[in-house]
Amino acid sequence: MDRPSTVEMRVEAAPEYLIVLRNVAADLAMGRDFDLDSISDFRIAVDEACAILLRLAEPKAVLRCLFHVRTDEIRVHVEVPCSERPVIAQDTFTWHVLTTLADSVTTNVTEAAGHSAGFLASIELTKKPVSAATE
Amino acid sequence: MSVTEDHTGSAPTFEELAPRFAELAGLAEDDPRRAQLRAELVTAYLPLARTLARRFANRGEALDDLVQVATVGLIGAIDRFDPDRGVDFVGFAVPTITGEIRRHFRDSAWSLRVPRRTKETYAAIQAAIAELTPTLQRSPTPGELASHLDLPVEQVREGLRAAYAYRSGSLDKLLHEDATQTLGSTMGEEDPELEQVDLRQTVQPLLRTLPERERTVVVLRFFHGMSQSQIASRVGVSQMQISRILSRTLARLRDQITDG
Repeated sequence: MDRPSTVEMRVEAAPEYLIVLRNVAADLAMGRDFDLDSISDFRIAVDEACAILLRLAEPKAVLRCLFHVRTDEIRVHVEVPCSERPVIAQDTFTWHVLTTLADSVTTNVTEAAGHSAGFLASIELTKKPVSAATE
Repeated sequence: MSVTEDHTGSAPTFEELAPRFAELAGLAEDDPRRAQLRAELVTAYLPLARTLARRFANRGEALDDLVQVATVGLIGAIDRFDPDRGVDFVGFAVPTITGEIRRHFRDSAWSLRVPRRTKETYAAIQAAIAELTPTLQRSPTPGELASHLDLPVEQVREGLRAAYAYRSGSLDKLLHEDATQTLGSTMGEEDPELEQVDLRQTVQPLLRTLPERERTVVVLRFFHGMSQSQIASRVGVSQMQISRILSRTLARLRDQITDG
C-alpha cells in the first residue's frame, strides 16, 4: 500500500463550518480521480459524520478532521471533545445513511485524561471509489 | 382575487374580460387596436401576476423583479391564449406565469453566482456524464470527463466544484412543486421494501415530511441500495442534481431529528 498523504483541519464545532469540511472532502476525492458517485457519497458521508459529532461537542469545542489520502482510498478521522460521556447511537437513520455512503465506519470514545473536557468522541470512515473496482 | 370582487370600480371582472380575448384573437397581427386591447388585458390581469409573484417571494429575489418577470409571463399568456380551446384564461395563465418565474430563478441562480466559463464547462460535463455513464456502467471520474471533453482536468474539477457549491436552494424549492406530478407514479405512499426495514418505525414518519421527489431519492439510495447514477436515470434528472437533493435532504432530516 502506498503511503498516505495527510490533510488535517481544525474548525470550530459549529454547523456553518461543515461546508468547508465537505468541500475539502470532495476536493480530495476529485484529486484522487474518484468517480462522481463516490465523490458525492464521500462528501455527504463526511458531512453526516461531522454533524453527528457536532451534537455531542462541548461548547466552543474544536472539531478535528484528518484525511489520509491514498490512491484508491480515503480514510477520515473526525473527533471532538465532549464534556459528558458521549453515546454514538448505531440504530438511527443517520447511522444507516453513514454506513450506506462509506465503505467502513467505526466510532470510538476515549477518556481524555488531563483535559478540561472529559471525553473525546471520534468517527472514522473509509471510502474507496467504485471506479477502482473496474480498473 | 381583488379584481373579481370589485364590482363598483372601473376594473372589469374576469368574466367580463372573457369576450375580449375572442376580440383580440379576431384582430389581424398588424391591427393598431391590438396593442391597446392587449394593454387593457395586461392591466386587468396584473393582480393575478402580482399574486403569483408574491408566492415566490422570500426566496432571494426582490418582489419587484418577480412581479416584472410575472408580467412578462402574463403578456406571453395573453398572446398565446386560444379562447376556442375551452379553457378559461386564468387556468391557462397561471402555469404560464409560474413557468416564467421558475425560469427566472433557474437562470439567475446561475448567472449571479457562477462565472460564464464554469457554467459552460458544467453544461459540457453534464452532457459527458450522460454519454459516459452507460458505457462505463458507473459514473465517470473527473479524469475520464476531461479526456472525453478534451479539457484540462482542473477545469473539469472547477465545473464540478461549482455544481456542488452552487446554491440551488431557490430552484429546488420551485422544483418541489413539479415533483409530485413527475414522480407520483414512481413511488407509492407506502413503499413495500421500506416496510421490511427495521428502521421503518422511526424513518417512515420522517420521510413522510419530505416532498415526493426527495423521499423517492432518499428511499432509492438508502433502502434500495441504488447508486446516485442509477437513481438519476430512473428519476430522469442528472446525477449532480441527485447529489444536491441528497445532500440537502439529509441536512434537512438532520435538523428535524435534532429539533425533535
